[in-house]
Formats: sequence, structure tokens, C-alpha cells
Amino acid sequence: MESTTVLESGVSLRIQPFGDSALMLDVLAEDRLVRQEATVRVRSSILLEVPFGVLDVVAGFESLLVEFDADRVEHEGVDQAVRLAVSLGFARSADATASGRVLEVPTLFGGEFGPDLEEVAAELDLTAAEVVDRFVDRPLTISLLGAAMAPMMHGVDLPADVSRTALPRTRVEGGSVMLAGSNAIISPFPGPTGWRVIGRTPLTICDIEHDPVVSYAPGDVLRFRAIERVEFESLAGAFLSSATALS
Amino acid sequence: MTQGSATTHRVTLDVLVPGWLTTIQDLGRRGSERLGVATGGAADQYSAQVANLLVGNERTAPLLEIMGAEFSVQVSAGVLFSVTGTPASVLVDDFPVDLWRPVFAAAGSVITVATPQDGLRSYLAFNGALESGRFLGSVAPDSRMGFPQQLRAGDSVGLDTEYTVFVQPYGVGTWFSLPVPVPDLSAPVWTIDVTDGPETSAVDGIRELMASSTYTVGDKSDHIGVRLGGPVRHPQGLGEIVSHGVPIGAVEIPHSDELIILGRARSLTAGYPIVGVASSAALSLLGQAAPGRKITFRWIDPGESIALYREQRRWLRLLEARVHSAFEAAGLPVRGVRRSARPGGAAPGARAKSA
Repeated sequence: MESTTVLESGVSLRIQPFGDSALMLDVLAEDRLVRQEATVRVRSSILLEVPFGVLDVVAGFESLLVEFDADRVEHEGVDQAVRLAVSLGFARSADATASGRVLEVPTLFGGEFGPDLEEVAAELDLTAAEVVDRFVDRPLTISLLGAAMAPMMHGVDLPADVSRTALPRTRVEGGSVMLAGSNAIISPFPGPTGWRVIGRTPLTICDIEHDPVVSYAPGDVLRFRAIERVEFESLAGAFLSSATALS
Repeated sequence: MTQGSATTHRVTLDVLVPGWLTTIQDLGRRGSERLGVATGGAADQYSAQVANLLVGNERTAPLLEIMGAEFSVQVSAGVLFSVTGTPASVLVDDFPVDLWRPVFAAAGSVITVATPQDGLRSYLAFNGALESGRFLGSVAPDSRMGFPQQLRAGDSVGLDTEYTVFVQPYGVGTWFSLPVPVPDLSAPVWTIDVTDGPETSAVDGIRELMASSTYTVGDKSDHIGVRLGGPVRHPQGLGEIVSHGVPIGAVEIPHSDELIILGRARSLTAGYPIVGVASSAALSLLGQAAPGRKITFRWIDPGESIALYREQRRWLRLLEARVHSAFEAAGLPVRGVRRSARPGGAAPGARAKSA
């Protein structure tokens, strides 16, 4: 079983089985940015009215995993229900995916908090200051939440893709602001990563004791602001919320 | 709850010996993966569900997942409990009792789960509701996000139960004949059913290699993945794989020479090829795979894989219905919706045992 549906001119959705309880949805288009933005819209179309038997939807930048209960439904039925949901929701989702909310993320770039900044700049043939300027000048829309609710954003404005580290780091600190390809992520918790670390926010962005656990969602915009050490110290541990956005 | 007049009382469970890693568990979070939080939950979902059903709970009720060595807990009042999962020695005080059955323990007695054989994890369920914090609606641990749920010596856990003592010590098992297919973990090499993954055809000869080789479970295995040492091949000329979601059971080949079967705490894959997906019906068995365990693979098609899973689910429904009838007839507290169920023949890979 494999189906391909045209979403709009030059953009289509390929659906394939992935094991006995999931479908893989890949958005196909020439341009990466088009693929990434269409993926966000497909995701919200499906979540708008989750088809019967579907348990969850795991977002990637250019794909979606649709997990279902194989005791109740099978690949063919879910494939059809997903295509129906997307055909009804895709056009509408163009506006619905943007929330209009903007959160500001104060970030200390480079040095010990951004150990990869100089190398990334050299790789792109820019100065470190130019990389930071270009990064903070373009507000980034959250396209999905990755591991441990990490906000993941596409469409970083840099002249070329940023490579991953040759060997993954075994531990980066929570709050690390990182790049790979044309994507950005903030790590909510310490952990291993192959992303390149260019800075760190002093804010706590996710706390399971906090209500809500995070104040951001896909569709929200993060605006990064370069700060110095003094401000980093004074903001340390504060929770990222819309209130901090107004500072 | 079925008895309107039933009253709930609080029992305290005092952890005396914690085992290597004992956590409060359930079947995992629902709808959390769209938020980037893995579903998590019991590694052996079959055993966890059966343990709860055998004590009259809903399948999703919190219970204990016990790994390794010896675990013991003292109960402040009479409880109805059940232990499932790996074959092990289960004692009430010094008296050995059966696994896969409802068992009674009197006030002050000590329940011990020790010397696991063949498998890795035991599940200990008590009739009633275990007291625990929740994260996104579930008690399942997520240690990376700061929700460890681990029990240590000296910890006390509250249990709210309607169960009151009225039976003879230890055995209520003789009263019932419950259809419990007990997984057979005694084979020297376990065979895991697997279906094709998106990159199976991109890795030349991987199907034949996996079906004809024996792999050994490594000691870095956990809820994120079971790591298997053994022969692998790496893809030739495969383009960049953009990070994407992967189902539980996905078999990936990292840059090193091993296979990883992803577990319930997995997140997006970092671009490694997925050469197979373990059958949903085989995932509970994988949850029992201890370091050193030998594993091989059998390739099946998705239709067969779904049929095996549905067979497993049918047995759980049958057990649920039988427990309901028996508990209601005996006036024991039981929760959950009674459903009709029909057995569909013998459960594959399991022998039926009357408890």
C-alpha cells in the first residue's frame, strides 16, 4: 500500500506503511522550505480532527508518523481517513498554523556557552558577529516540538547549511541554542546531541513542575535577542513565558 | 467500581529492598508524542496489563515495574496482588506463591520478588489505586524530563483499595480458573517477528543476514532501545535521511556495528536507516530481553503481524471478562467495563495456564 496525493501545485503527500501500526507521511516538493511549511500544515490538518483509531502524530521537519491502534483499524483505512482530513484541512491550515504569539528568548552567544559559534561562522565564511546578527534578525516559527518538548524551528537565514558535529557531544546544558542544516532548536534539558551549539538562554524553557510545562507551541514565533553576561546572570532560571517576551 | 456501597481505605506499602530499578509505571502517556514527549510506560505491556486485570483493576492502572535482584515491600493492611513478567521467586513472608494469579497477603506481611530467570522485568499490581504524581496524565517515568518515579528503600507508597480480607491466606487462586497465556521465556534463542522498514531494500542482504544470525543484547539497553551486538551491514549510497518520527520497535543501524530496536522512550531518529520494525505482538517479549539474551529474527508481512497482535488483544479481553464475572460473583472489588470476548484459539508463543 502506497498512495500519493497532490496537495497543491508542485506539492504532494506520499503515504506508506511503517510497521504494523503506523503510516509514514512524506511531503514531496522541490524546495525544502515549501516541504517544511507544508508538513506543518498537514500536521495541523490531521490534529484538527484526529481520525478514528489514530493514537498520535509524531512530527519531523519534512514528514509525519501517524500511529494507530492496529486492533481497531488498518493501514488502508487510516490512509484514507488521513487523505480526507488533509484534503479538507490543508487549504484552511495556511492561516491556522500561525498563532500570532511572539516569545523573546534572551541568549548569550559564543564563548563557553556557544562553543561551536566560531567554527560555524568559519564554515559559512562569515564572522561570528555576522552569524549572530543574521540569526537574531529573523524571528523563527516553531514548526514542531522534538524530544522532551524541545522547540524546533526551520528557515534559519544563513547562506548555507550548518553541518552536524562529527561526533555527538555526550552532554550539552539545558537552554543550549543549536543549529543543524537550516534548522534551530533549544535543548530544554541536558543531554547528548549532534547539533552545533552557538549560544545559551538563561531561561528555563520547560519545567514539569510548572503549569503549563512549556509556554510555547507549534505556530508560535521565537525572537532571539543577544545578551551579555550580566543580563544572563540576572535572568538565570526564570521561566520562559509571554511575560518575559515583553521585557 | 461495581459495588456502590464499597468503601475505600488507605494501605501503606513500605519499600524494604528496592531492587536495581523499581519504578511506578502504567501503560504510558496518550497523545503526548505530538508534544515531543515519548509515550513511555511498561516495557512489557502484556505482563503489566495482565497483572492489573488479575487483581480486578483497569489495565491502565499504576503498578510497579521491578528490575533485577530482589525487591520487597511490607503492607500495612491486607491486599490482593499479582506478579507477572519474568519467571521469578515470589514470597509472602517465607511462603512461596504463584505468579500470574491473584494472591492475598495479610496485614504486616512482606511481599518479595526475587531471582528473576530468563527475563528482566517483574510487574507487581495491587487491587486499588496506587498514589502517585502524574505527568501529562500518566505515572510513567520520564527521567530526562525530571520525572524518575523510582522507589528506594524506606519509601512509602499509598494504596487506596476497597479490598477487605475475607479469604484464606495466600491463595485465592484455587477459586478461579482464569485463562492466562503465560509467555514462554525459556527458549535459548528468542525469535522476534519483524516486518520491512523503509530502508530494508537499501541495505543489501540485511533480511537474510538478520534471519540467519544470532544477536546478543548489550548491557546499555534501556527503555530507549534494546542494543544488539552481532553481524550488521551498512547502507551503500543512501542519501541524507532527515530526522523523522519512528514507531516503537523500529530496528535501526547506527554508525557502529550493532542493531538498535527502539523502545517506548525513543524520540526522533537522528537519520539512521530503519531496516525493519518488530511486530507489535513481539514488543512485550523485547521488554523482557536482559543483557546477554540471544535473539534472532523472522520476517513476516504486515497482515500477519496485525493478526498476531489482535490475537494477543483478544486474550486480554477474554481474561478481563472472566475476571469480572469471577470477582463480581465473589464480591471482590473490580473496576473497568465488562466486555464480551471470544477466544480465537491458542495464543501464539504462549501456553495457556489455569490460575
